[in-house]
Amino acid sequence: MRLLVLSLLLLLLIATPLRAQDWSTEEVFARYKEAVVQVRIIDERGGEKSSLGSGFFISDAGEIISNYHVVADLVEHPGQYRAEYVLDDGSSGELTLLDVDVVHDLSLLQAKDVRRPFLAIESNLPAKGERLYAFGNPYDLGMTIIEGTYNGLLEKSLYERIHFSGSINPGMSGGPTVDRNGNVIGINVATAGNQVSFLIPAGFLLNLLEAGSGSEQDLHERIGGQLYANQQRYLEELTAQPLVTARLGDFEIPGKLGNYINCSSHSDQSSDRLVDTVAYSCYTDENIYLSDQLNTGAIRMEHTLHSTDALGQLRFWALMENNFSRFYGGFGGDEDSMSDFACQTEAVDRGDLPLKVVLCVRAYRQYPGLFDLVQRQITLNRPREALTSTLVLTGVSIDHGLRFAQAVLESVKWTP
Amino acid sequence: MDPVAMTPERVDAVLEVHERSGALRERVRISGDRLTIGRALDNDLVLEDPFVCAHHAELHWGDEGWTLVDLNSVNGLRLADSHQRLDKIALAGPMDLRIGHTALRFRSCDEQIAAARVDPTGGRWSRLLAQVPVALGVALLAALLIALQQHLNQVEHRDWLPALAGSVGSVTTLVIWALAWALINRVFAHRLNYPAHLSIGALCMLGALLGNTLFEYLLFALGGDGLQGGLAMLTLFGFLAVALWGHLGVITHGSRRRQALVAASVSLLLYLVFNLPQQVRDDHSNAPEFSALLKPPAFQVTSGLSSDHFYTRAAQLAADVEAEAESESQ
Repeated sequence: MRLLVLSLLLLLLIATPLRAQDWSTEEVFARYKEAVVQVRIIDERGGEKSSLGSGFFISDAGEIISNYHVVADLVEHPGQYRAEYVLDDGSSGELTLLDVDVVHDLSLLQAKDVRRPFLAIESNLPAKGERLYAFGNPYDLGMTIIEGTYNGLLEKSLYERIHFSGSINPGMSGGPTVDRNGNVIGINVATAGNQVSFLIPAGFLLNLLEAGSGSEQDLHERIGGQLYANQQRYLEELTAQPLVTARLGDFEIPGKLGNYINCSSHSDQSSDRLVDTVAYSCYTDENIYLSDQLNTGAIRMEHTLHSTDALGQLRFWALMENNFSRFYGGFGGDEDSMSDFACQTEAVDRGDLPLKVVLCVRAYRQYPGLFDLVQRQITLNRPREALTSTLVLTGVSIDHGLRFAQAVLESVKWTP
Repeated sequence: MDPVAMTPERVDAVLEVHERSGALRERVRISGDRLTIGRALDNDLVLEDPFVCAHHAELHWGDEGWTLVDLNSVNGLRLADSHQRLDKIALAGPMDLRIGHTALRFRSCDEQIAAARVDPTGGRWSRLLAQVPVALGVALLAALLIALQQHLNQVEHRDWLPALAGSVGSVTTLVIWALAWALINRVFAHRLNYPAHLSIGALCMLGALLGNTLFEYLLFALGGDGLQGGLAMLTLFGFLAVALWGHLGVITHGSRRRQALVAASVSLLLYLVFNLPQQVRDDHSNAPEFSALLKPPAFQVTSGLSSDHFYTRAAQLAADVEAEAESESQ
C-alpha cells in the first residue's frame, strides 16, 4: 500500500507539466537554442567571414529572421558577399535574402534544406519588469543566453524600440529575445552599454512576413518605398499643424516637436566673452541603417542666438559670416550611393523678418526620390543680434522635406 | 676710253661691342680710314676676349666701302648668324659680326633713326610711383588694410599686434613679388626700378582687397550671393592683370595695348591653371559646402525673395540634382 502511494505520487510528479515560470535560464536555453543560428556574411573573394550576426527560425520552412544591418552588404554590394547560417551543432548552410524592412532593421532569410524548431512571435508586449532572455552569438564566442528584464517601449524614439535591461553585445544582432514561454518579444538590435539594450518589437515581424515574401519587386525599390513611406509618416504628422515653438531670447523658434525629439540647450555668457551665445538643439536619437557608411531617417535642428554689446557691427557680422559657413557633422555615403550636395543661397524676406537662407540637397542614387537636406538660416533684423538655425533632414522626399523646411523657416519669429 | 673706277663717297661708321645679353658695352667711332681690332693694347679697339688674337682683324675704307679683313687669326671672322669662317667681310648698314666670342655691330652713321617715342615712364604717375616714399607708403597702406581685416576677425582678444603679424605673410609676398620684377627689370633695362615695382604690386594688392570688399557689400546690399565666387575671382585676376600690365610698362617701352593683351592673357592663363583642376576634379564630398555674405543689416538695400519663391527655386535645385545623379549613374 505504501509502495503504491509512493508510486502514485511519483507518477503525479512526472505527469505534471513543468510550469513555464519555474523554468531556469538553463532550461530556457536548452529548449530554444536549436531555433537560434549564427548568421555569417562571407566575402566571396576572400572566402572568409566579413561580418557576423545572429538570427532565428520563424517557420518550419527554414525562414530565418535577422537584422537588416547584419545582411546589408548583400543588398549594397550584390555579388560580393554571400550569407551562411551556422547551427548550434556547428553545421552550416547557405542563406538567401527574401525581404527586408530597413525602417525597423529586419531581414527575412531562407535557409536551404534544413528543418529546425522555430520560435513563435508575440506581438503583445509583456508587463514592465518581466524577465526576458536574449539569444545570440556575441563576438563569435558561441551561442549565449542573456537574462534581463523588459522595461517598456522607448518614449523618445522616432522608431519603436523596446528597452531591455540586459547586456546585448556585438554579434547578437538579429537574435531573438524571448519570454519564458519561448515567444519572441523582440529582436536584438542595439546597445547603449551598461545593460541598456534595445530590441525591435516582434510585432513588426508580422508586417515583414505578410508584405515581403514572394514579391518580385527589386529590393532597392522596396527599400526606397519603405523609406519614402516612413518619412511621409512622420513629416506629414509634423506639418499637419503649426510647429511647437520655444523661446530663445526675443525669438520664437521651432522647439520640441514631438516626444521622439530630444532637445537640449546650452548658453555661454561668461563675462570675458565678447559674444554671448545661447544654443538650443533638438534631434532624433535613432536613425535608419542603410550601410556601414550611411544612416538615414533622422531630424536635427540647431538654433544659436548670438548677441553682443562689446563688438561693433562690422566685427560682429564678420564673425557671423565666418561662423555661418562652418558645418560640423558630416554625412555618410560614398560616391556610388550619394550625389554631391548642391546649394542655393538667397536673401528671404518674410515682411517682418529678413533672413539669409542656404539650402543644400543631395540625392540618393539607389533610392530615387529621396534626398538629404540641409537648411541654414540667419536673421538679419538686428544690428548686433542674430539667430542662426540649422535643419538637417536625411532620407526625405523633396516635397515633404521642403514643406517641413518651410514650416521651420516660417515658425522663426522675432517677438520682443 | 678706260672706265674710271668710282670710289664711293666715304661714310663715317661706328663699331659697337655688345654684351651677350645684347646690351651695349662700348661704341667706337671710326674716324680714319683704318681701325685695328685685337687683344693687344696697341689696337684701336681692344677686346678682352681670350678667343681673340693679339692682332685679329682690320677694318678699312676702300673701293668696296668698309671691309673687315682677317689678319690670319686663330678663330677668324663670322657673321653673327653663321658658323662659316670668313677671311673678309664687306660691311654695309647695320651688320652683326662675331670675333672670337665677342659680338660686334657695324653701323654706318647715315643709318635711318626711328623717331623718338614718348617715354611712358616719364609721365607724372610713373614718376610718382617710382619714388621711394610713395612705394613705402602704399606698401604700408596695404599691410595696414590686411591687418585691419585680421583685426575685424578677432573675437576673443582684440589686439593689433597679432593682426599686424598676420599681415607679415602678405607683405613678404609683396616684397618678393616686387623684387622678382625688379630683377627682370635689371636684365632687360639695366636698372632695378624697385620702388616702381613695389608701388605697382602694393597698389594692385590694395585694389584687389578693396575691390573685393566693395563687391561683397554691393552683392550683400542687392542680394546677389550667387555671384560672390565669380566676382572674387574676377577681382583677384583682374588686378593681377593690371599689376602685370604695370610691371611690363615699367620694364619695356613697347606698345601699351600689346602689353595689356599680354597681361590679360597671362592672367587668364593663371586663372585657368589654378581653377581648372578644381572645376574638373571629381572628388566626392559628404559635407555641404556653403557660404553666405553677411554684413550689418543696415547695408541691405533690396528685400529678399518670399519664402514660397525660395522653396520653388529649391524644388528646381533638387530636380536638377536628381537629374544629374541619374545621368551620372547611367
